[in-house]
Amino acid sequence: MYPSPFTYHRPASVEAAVALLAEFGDDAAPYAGGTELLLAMKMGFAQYDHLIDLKRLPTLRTIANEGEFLSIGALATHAEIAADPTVRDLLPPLAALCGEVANPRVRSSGTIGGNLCFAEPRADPPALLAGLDATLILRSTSGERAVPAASFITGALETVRAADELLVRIDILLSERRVRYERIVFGHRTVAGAVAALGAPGQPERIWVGGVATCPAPLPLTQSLLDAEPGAADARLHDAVTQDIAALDIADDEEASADYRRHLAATVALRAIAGCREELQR
Amino acid sequence: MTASLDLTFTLNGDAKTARVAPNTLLIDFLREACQLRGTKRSCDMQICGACTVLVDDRPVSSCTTLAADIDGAVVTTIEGLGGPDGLDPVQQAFLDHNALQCGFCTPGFILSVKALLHANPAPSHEEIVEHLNGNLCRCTGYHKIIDAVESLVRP
Ligand SMILES: Cc1cc2nc3c(=O)[nH]c(=O)nc-3n(C[C@H](O)[C@H](O)[C@H](O)COP(=O)(O)OP(=O)(O)OC[C@H]3O[C@@H](n4cnc5c(N)ncnc54)[C@H](O)[C@@H]3O)c2cc1C
Repeated sequence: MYPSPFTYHRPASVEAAVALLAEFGDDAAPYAGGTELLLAMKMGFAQYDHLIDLKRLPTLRTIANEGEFLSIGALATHAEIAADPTVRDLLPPLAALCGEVANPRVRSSGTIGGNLCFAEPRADPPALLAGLDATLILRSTSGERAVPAASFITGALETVRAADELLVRIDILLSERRVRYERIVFGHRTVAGAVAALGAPGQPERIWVGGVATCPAPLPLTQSLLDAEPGAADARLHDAVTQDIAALDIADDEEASADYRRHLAATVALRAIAGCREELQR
Repeated sequence: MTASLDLTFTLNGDAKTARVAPNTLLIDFLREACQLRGTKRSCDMQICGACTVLVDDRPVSSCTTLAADIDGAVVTTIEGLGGPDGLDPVQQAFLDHNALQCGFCTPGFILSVKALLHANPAPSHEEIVEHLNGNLCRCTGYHKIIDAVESLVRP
């Protein structure tokens, strides 16, 4: 299988990349790791007249501790994030997740930005970043805008990113919250993932699930219960999680029935909460 | 902007140049233009690992990488490791442990192990198993492959 022919662009700067996106719009795709893009093009699901190679823009891969937040360039690969001392120190669950998604080849080419922009419903980082109150910075020729990770993905393979926008970085709020991400994998992809970010005074509790519906979703009843009663008994937590997950739009698919996936989603959500609570008690 | 692309790279130790169409995949470039057939195409979706090659010592699935990506890079395929008169230690370990039968997956496994040992010269047993999770073998049942890698790390 070959990707259909395209014109290849290798911009020398982020400004030049954004200018190409402004010129070609829908007819162009940024080429990051290519682990999803080339697959989709080979299979004929996607076709673009222009590919804009981002791989040679080192400023897009910077990872930095900015004090209030951890800033991760969109082009940072899973492997780079997993190995980065700053991420390992400030956000171990993100480093750990990036070190175990997919396989070593996909981790060494695939980028965090490509993962978010592709918006595959089974992806892990979208839910984790939403639960961490991360902000995505999108850039076009008219400037930058910030979009909360919580509202970036709107459906399967759909985001609020306009065709002329480049995701340049992800800013993750650093907080005292304990963070846990739990997932269950069948074969090569996640069937249910959940993040809990809990226990920072004055900050709302966050529980999100991913990999179950078409896009990541918060568990609002569970969050309110934990906001009101951080020590809520397990039985009440179980009820709240079950009710929240029952309200999600989850379909049967070839991997799991909707009921089974609901069960898995509740399981990972409860595990993530229990993991955070254990850490808080230490 | 380019309709065809000029590449300068190092392939198995030799400096090379080539001109490719932008939609050329690395696997086709290696197998067809360079006539290096040790790199195998199988699943075509980055799961099986048979097409693994090293680009600047990183493992990549050549089935889902553009040839454009090797411009300026150092590429190693199985042909770049040892030959009959002097095997690479990883090849020798596979031979010594009967870590192959039909051999189709072997180039990918060996390059995958090279990448692991380059990044992490002393992986734990769990790290070896996790790393090789990304390569499929339908003959050996994996134990012999893992034993071969273990023999390099904990002789
Ligand atoms: C075998 C396999 C197993 C996997 N397992 C997992 C898993 O367990 N968990 C998980 O979360 N993911 C998993 N993935 C998905 C993997 O994480 C993604 O393939 C990867 O992160 C995509 O990044 P990329 O750089 O290759 O994106 P590309 O393929 O280059 O791009 C994807 C899309 O995003 C666009 N894009 C890329 N970068 C930008 C940018 N900066 N701005 C705007 N648009 C952009 C592209 O135009 C394209 O439309 C798996 C993938 C494979 C192949």
